[in-house]
Amino acid sequence: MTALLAMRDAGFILGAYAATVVVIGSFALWVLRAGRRSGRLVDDEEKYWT
Amino acid sequence: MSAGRLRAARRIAVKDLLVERRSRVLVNQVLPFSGLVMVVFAFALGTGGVLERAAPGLMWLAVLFSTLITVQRSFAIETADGALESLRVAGIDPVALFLGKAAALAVELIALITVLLGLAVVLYGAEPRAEGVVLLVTTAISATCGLAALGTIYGGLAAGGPGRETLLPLLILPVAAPVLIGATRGVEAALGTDRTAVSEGWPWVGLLTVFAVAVGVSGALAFGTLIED
Amino acid sequence: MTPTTSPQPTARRATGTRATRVLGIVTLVMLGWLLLFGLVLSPADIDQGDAVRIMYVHVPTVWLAYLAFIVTAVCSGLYLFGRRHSLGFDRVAGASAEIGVVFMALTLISGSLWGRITWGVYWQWDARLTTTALLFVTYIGYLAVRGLEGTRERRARRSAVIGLLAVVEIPLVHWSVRLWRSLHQEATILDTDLDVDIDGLMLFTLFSGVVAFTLLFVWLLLHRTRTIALDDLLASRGLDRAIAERRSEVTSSGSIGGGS
Repeated sequence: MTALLAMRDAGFILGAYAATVVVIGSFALWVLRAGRRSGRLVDDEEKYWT
Repeated sequence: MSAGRLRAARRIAVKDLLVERRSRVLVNQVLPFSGLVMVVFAFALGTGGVLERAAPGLMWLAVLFSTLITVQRSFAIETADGALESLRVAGIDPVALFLGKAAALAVELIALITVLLGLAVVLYGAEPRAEGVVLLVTTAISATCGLAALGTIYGGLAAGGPGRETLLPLLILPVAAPVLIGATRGVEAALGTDRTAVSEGWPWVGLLTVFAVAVGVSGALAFGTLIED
Repeated sequence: MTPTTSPQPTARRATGTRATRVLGIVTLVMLGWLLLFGLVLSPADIDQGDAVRIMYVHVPTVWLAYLAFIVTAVCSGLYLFGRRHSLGFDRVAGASAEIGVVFMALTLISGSLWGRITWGVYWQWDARLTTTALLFVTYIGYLAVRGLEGTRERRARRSAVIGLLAVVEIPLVHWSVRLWRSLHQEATILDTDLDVDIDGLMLFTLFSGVVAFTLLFVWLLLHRTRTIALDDLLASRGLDRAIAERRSEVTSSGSIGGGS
C-alpha cells in the first residue's frame, strides 16, 4: 500500500483508478437498480429473457 | 438525378426564398444578430492584433451561430402551419425537398457571409488581397454548402417543436467542426493572416467540398426517413 | 388474461439471468485482476514511469467507448435498412450509446490525468483527443434525441439517422483536426502516440484490461437492453390504458366531441 502511495504522481494515478472504479461501480449499480424497478412492474411471462 | 426532381427542388428553393423575402427574417433579425456578434467579439477580445488575426475565425463563428437561428426559424415556419406535413403528404420527393431547402439556406448563408466579410474588413481590419479572391469565394461556397446541408438535416430533425430548439446547437456544432476549421483556414490563406500563402488554402477547400458532398448525399438519403410520420 | 395488478405470490424477476450472473462474476474477477496487475504487479515503464499504469484503464475505456459507438452505428443500420425494422436493434443501439457515453467520459478523465503527468497539461488539441471530445458530445446529442417525445418507431428512426450520420461525420472531423494540427507541428513536441516499449507483463496487463472491459460491456448491454425493453412495454401499456380511459370517458358522458 505504501509503495503505491510512494509512486511519483501517485495522486493522479490513483485518482484515475478511483474515478474508474467509482464511475463503473455507480453506473453498474444504477443499471441493476433501474432494471429491478422496471422488472417489478411487468409480468415475467412478458420478459423475453425468462 | 431526374429533371423532374431537380425541377421540384428548384421550386421548393424558390418557395423558401420567397417566404424569406416576404418575412424578411434574414434581413431583419439574423443579419443584425450576426453583426452584433461580430461587435461583441471585439468587446471580448479587445482591439488590435488579436482581432485582426482572429478575424476569419470570428467571421465563421458568427455565420455558424446565425445558421442555427436561421434553421430554427425556417423549420418553425414549416411545422407551425403543418407546411412540411402537407409537402410530404402531397408526395413531394424527399430528396427534392432536402435539396431545395438546402439550396435556399445556402443562398441565404452566402448573402450573410458576404456582409460579414465586409464587416470584418471594417471592424477587424481584415484586408482581402487580389491573389486570394478565388480562394475566398470557393471557400465561402464550399463551406456554406456544407453548413446548409447540415442545417437542413438537423433542422428537419430537431427544429420547430417545443423542447427541441435547444437540441439543434447541441447536434449541429460538433458536426460543424470540420467546416469551422476548414473555412477559417481557407479564409486565413486567402487574406494572408499570419503570413499564410494562398496555396495553403486549397487543401481546405478540398476538405470542405468532400464534407459538403458527404453530408449532402447522406442528408438527401436520410431526409425522407426523418420527416416520415 | 391475468391483470398485471393482481398480487403475485413470488417477486417478479429483474433483468438478470443465470448467464448474466456468471458473466458478472467473471467480469468482477477480471476487473480485480486488472487492478492487481495494473497497480501492483506490473512494472513501471522506463520512460513514462508509473504513469503508464493509467494506460491500463485508459486504453480499455477507449476501446469500450469506440466499440459501443460501433455497436450503436451497426444496430442503427440494421434497424433502418432491415426489412422488419425490428425495434430490438433500436434498443441495443440506445443501450450501447448510454454505455458509450459513460466510458467516453472515463476516457477523457483518465486520458487527461495521464496527460497531466506525461505532458504537464490536462488537454491538447490534437486529432485524437479532439475527435474523442466531439464524439462524446455527439453521443450526448444522440441520447437527447432518443429522449424526445414520440412513438418508439419515431424515436428509433430519428436516432438511427443520427447514429449513422455520426459514422460519416466522425472521420471527417478527425481528418480536419489532424490536417489542422499538422500545420503547427506541435505534434512532434507532445507526442500522443503511446511510445511504450511494451514489456511482456505490461502487454499482458493491457490485454486483460481489454478482455475485462469487453465482458463488462456485454454485461451492461444485456441489462440495459432488457430494461429499455421493459420501459418501452410499460410506456406503450400506459398509452393503451390512457386511450382506453379516454374512450370510456367519452362513451359514459354520452357526447362525443363536446369537450376539449
